[in-house]
Amino acid sequence: MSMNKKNVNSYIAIGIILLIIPLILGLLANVLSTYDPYETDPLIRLKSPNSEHIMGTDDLGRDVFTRTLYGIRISLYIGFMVTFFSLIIGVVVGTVSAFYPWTSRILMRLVDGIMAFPTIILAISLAGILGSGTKNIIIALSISYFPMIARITKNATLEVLGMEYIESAIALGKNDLYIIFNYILPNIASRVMVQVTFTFAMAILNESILSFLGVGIKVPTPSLGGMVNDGRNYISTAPWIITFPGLIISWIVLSLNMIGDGMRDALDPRCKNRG
Amino acid sequence: MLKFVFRRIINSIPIIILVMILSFLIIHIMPGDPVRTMLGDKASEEQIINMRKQLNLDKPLMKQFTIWIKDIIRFDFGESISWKEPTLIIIKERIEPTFLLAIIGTLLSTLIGIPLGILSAKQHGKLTEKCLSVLSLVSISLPAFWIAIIMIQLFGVNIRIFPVSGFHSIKSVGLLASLYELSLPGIILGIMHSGQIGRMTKTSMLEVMQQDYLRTARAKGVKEFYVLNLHGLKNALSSIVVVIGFSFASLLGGAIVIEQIFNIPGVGNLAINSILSRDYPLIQGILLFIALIFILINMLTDIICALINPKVRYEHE
Repeated sequence: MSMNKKNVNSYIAIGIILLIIPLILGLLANVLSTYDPYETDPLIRLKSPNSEHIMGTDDLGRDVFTRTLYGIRISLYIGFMVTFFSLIIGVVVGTVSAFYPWTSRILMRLVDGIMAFPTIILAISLAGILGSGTKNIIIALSISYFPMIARITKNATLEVLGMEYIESAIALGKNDLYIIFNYILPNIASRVMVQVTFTFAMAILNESILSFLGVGIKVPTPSLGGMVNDGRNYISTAPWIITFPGLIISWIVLSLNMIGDGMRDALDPRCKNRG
Repeated sequence: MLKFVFRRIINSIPIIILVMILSFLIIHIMPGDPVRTMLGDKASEEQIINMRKQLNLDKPLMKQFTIWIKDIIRFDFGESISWKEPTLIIIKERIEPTFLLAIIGTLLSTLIGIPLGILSAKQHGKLTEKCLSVLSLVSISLPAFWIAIIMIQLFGVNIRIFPVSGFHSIKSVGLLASLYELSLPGIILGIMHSGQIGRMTKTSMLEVMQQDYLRTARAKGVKEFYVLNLHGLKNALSSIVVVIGFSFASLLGGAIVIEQIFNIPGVGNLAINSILSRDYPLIQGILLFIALIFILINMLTDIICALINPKVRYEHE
């Protein structure tokens, strides 16, 4: 069992370490690179990685390293915002519908309805209908992802509501808001956080899909998915254009998934008693 | 059992109604006038009025909704603007490659995922399990479009073993030729989905492995191989079936990106094209169709689970 625990914690630790690297790259994009991500230069198009352009240049002569850095920044920003909104909406919807069962008829039905659509199809359709751009991607992805958090929150809240300490709090005359903030939220936080981490990972992956398909971030704004699409036609002559952005997407998503997995295993009582 | 099936069908009616409402509303959440966006700036006022009439957008919302529901009940999912054909007919023409691709993908991912899942449950805590769990994490973290582009370059251009673009129906070129055209996208989907199936298999096997009946089986002298693969797997099967069903449904709903990259004229490809060409009635129809398929497969999955595991049946009764 001790072996197991070590394994679980190492997942979280490795995930966090892996995540710090793109986080720094994205936040310090303007410090780490002096190039302009939009500046085109026909004289240096499709140059392979060299000392001046460490990831080479693309078909318009833009620096791939710089564009990757700004792409990371926008991916992380969108991922964060989607996670934030999904978390807030999901937790409110989940706790309210667990606490006041009559509201659940409307709220959870809506959640069920949204979840009946495959997330990626829903996200693409919403993004396509709302129009491309950062704000609309955030709206489209948040609508697609809050239902899962709402469902998990509701189930966790219902479990907590059955506990004796809730009954005693009610008997003591504590009001609903007090109970939600002091008893419910702290007790469901860890379970919700696991889903939040996975949501972050999926939001980044799906943003890259939207941008790749052309319904996400508008060109010429640098985005990792968009760069892969731009570099597609040059893969035989300039493979570096698609290699680096793709690697970075995988890197970020993998590190978030590792953290999520580690957290889930650490929480799951079934995993603890195992072996 | 019949009672369970009946109840499961009744239970899915509210969700079907909800899906109809949501796919109706989706066209109304868009900013601005959908008709103007569809026709572009050059459209005359007359064209706009005509199209609005054609799409019933000139009527009050409730009236529009009742028309939408009535049409769906008569299996009329609306008419595409760019194709000038009923949505269901367009989808019907596109369903074959998507269906084949979903079968190949699900079959491969099950064949890879289940044995690897059992292996990692058996080797729990050992190096093999750790390697497999990292591999499965990687497989669910990679962007499919990126992998697909690299695979096309490797196996379609550098070493020419796989066809990399297009699809011809079984009728025109025969089953084998059709399958061959879908081999590379199918393999990519299979490998990428196998991670998820493997993870689920491992979790449910680990859960089952702690149960008393396995200890009883061992005490009875049943060989370890049969303990795991017969007694164990049988009980873990229902949750694995759920994942397989889910994976099949999401592949049917369109391996959107893969179809787009491999230029396969399937439902996913159609969905993207309808969005890019702003064909709103077609988007609505496709969304509804995919959601209904999703609901149907979930229902079938639950029924299969109940058949495998009587416990599921009783929990619902």
